[in-house]
Amino acid sequence: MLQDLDLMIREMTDQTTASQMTRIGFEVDAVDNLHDARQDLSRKIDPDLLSTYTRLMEKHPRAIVPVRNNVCLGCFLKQPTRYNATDEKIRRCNHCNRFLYFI
Amino acid sequence: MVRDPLMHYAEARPPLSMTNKELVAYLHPDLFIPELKARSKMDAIGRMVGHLVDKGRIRDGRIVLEALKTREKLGSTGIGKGVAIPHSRSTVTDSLTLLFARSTEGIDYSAIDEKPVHLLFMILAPHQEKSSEYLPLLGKLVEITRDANVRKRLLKVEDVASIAEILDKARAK
Repeated sequence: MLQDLDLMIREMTDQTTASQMTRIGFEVDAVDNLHDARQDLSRKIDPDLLSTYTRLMEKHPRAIVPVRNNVCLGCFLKQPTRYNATDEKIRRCNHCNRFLYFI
Repeated sequence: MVRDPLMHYAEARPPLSMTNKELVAYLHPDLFIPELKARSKMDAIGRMVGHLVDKGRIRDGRIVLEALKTREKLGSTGIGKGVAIPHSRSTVTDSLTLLFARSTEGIDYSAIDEKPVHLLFMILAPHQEKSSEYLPLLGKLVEITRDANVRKRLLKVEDVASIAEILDKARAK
């Protein structure tokens, strides 16, 4: 998922997190590999969806948020009951517009 | 950018601090694979993710698997001395999860010391956590598994209660 990759890049390029990771004992010096993977993945995504995702990522820390008990965990507002995990459609929060992932 | 409402909780916690008891609280009988049958790193990670799906901890294993594979591109999570800690944050989980697996035979994991891996701790975390325990949990596991005696005992455990006892009494090396 593109968002996981983007947030991983953000986390690993954050100096505090990177230094904590190094302190623990994990190498984080191959971030370029993540950028390459991102480029490959973004080519496979519908351009309109990608553009919406990019706009949402500029506005919010996350563009895709989990939904639990029909509540968007981005804005904590209730979603219509017809939105559910078996739904094949790409759903967006009626309030904050972010993409929804049903946990 | 709009600030995440939960971030202040994360920032309030001192970095990399976790007690043994806090670590033990993440153990669960469902989250122990006594004998992981896998030959390679990706096979092991895939089977562990499959276990999380089987136990209802995550709905879609593919996304998690991708995140964990991507994490390995940064450098191996095989930290040497037979221990691996594959870890990642993911959109598809809403709670910090720790899965412990053991391989008596050993797995070719491309670990930093190139030795087979016998003890695997998989950590899966949401992007936002109220208590921000992802890095402390990672740090605590690295710290505890530095002890050869702990590693030796973990290779012989039969159940989660025994794992809890070992981890609870472990001392930092």
